[in-house]
Amino acid sequence: MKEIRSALTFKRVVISLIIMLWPFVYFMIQRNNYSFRDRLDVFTFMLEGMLPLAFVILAALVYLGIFSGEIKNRFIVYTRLRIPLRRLLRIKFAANFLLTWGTFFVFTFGYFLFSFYISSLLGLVEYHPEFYKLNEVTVIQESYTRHTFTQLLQYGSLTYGFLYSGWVALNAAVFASLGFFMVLIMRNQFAAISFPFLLYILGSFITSSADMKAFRFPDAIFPFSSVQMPIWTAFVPLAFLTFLCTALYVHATKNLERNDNLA
Amino acid sequence: MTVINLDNVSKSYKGIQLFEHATAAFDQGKIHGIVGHNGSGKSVLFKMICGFIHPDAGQITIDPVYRDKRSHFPVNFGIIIDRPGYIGGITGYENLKRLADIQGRITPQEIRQAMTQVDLNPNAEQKVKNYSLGMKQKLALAQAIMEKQEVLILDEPFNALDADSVHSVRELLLAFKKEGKTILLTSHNQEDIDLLCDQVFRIHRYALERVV
Repeated sequence: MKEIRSALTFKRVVISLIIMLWPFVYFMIQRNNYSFRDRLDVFTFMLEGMLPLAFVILAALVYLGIFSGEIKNRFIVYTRLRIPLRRLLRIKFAANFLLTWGTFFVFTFGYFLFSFYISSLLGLVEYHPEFYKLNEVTVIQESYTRHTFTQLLQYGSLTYGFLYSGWVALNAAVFASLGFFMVLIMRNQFAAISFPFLLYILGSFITSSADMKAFRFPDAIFPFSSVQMPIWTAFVPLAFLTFLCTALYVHATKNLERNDNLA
Repeated sequence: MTVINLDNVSKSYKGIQLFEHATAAFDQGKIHGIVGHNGSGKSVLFKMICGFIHPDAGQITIDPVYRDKRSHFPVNFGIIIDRPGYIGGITGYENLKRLADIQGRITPQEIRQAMTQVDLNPNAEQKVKNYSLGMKQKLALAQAIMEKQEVLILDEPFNALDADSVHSVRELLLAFKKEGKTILLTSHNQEDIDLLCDQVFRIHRYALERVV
């Protein structure tokens, strides 16, 4: 908790809030130029655009910069006689994972609440299901089959909002964990922090080339530009990332003594 | 009483042989100087003593007083190895507070006292990334002494210090010696070694030769 508290400085929280507000500002500017079927359309509008592209960069910005600075400036070395290294790294890993998860959960769930409840309460948006040859009843049925994860809407809007926000946050946290291990292993800290983003882009390119669009990272996390797929398909890229993280964890812990970043 | 004992220690680091059957004993309450040319292995020696890296062969024994069953590392050791470590975006005091909070053994007053001892202003708002090299060095010294560590392992503690600071740090180290602390230090300045050290070891042909 201490580690998380020290990372949550006023400046960092304000910067995060400003970044988080970007989709809202974009929505307020553009809302009259679009026809929204329903509340789900508003929600996906918020999360589309720049976010899928900047997703991994934002995930890395939450905590990895702090951790990388501590390694680069050798602060970690001076903690070593005060706390066992493995314990310290566990604390740092947990802080990175939880902060990133928490930040993205608040972000996604906040926009879910805004789209599903607040925007209609405030009358910020008008729905036009008729533009899509739907009515107020059929649009609900249609929403269940619109995108991957919207199957969950059958169990209630909040269930969908909660689980989908958790899903986005989990992916952000796993990408941040990947960056965490790279920062630990690699000498070049910029390259280490950039690695998750390169993997995200390169992985997307490869899966697109191999005609496996459902397994593209952006489509698994923000599945709004394609037809609904079974939810398990979204877990395939995550499973790959988790495997990679595990391999990096094993490598990092086996070679702690030889790690110049820590001695 | 011997605090640190090296027995037939061999070590190669990044493919370069640095020590071969090196043997030395460092006694309590003395200042020990380690000299040697650049790259001779002074920092590696200190890292081995601290348990950050292990000898390829031989043994380094630390007095059980400075060992903890729960840790692979010596306790009550204050260190500066290679260069200072810090978090750039916060003040010097906040840096030391972060380190002190890990064990929670000392009060904020004791942190301030350690900063004052090395001529740093604990109330300064200046972030460490804006510190001069000498100030960073003083901050490193402050973290090495703030928890009243009994054994000080100081790799080039006078690096980048101005003449007045060198003088006051020398005085500080001599005062620590009087208190019974054990100090191992390296310095490229022979005057530091001559003025401070009771025993001097030279790293020569992969061994630790006692020269004084």
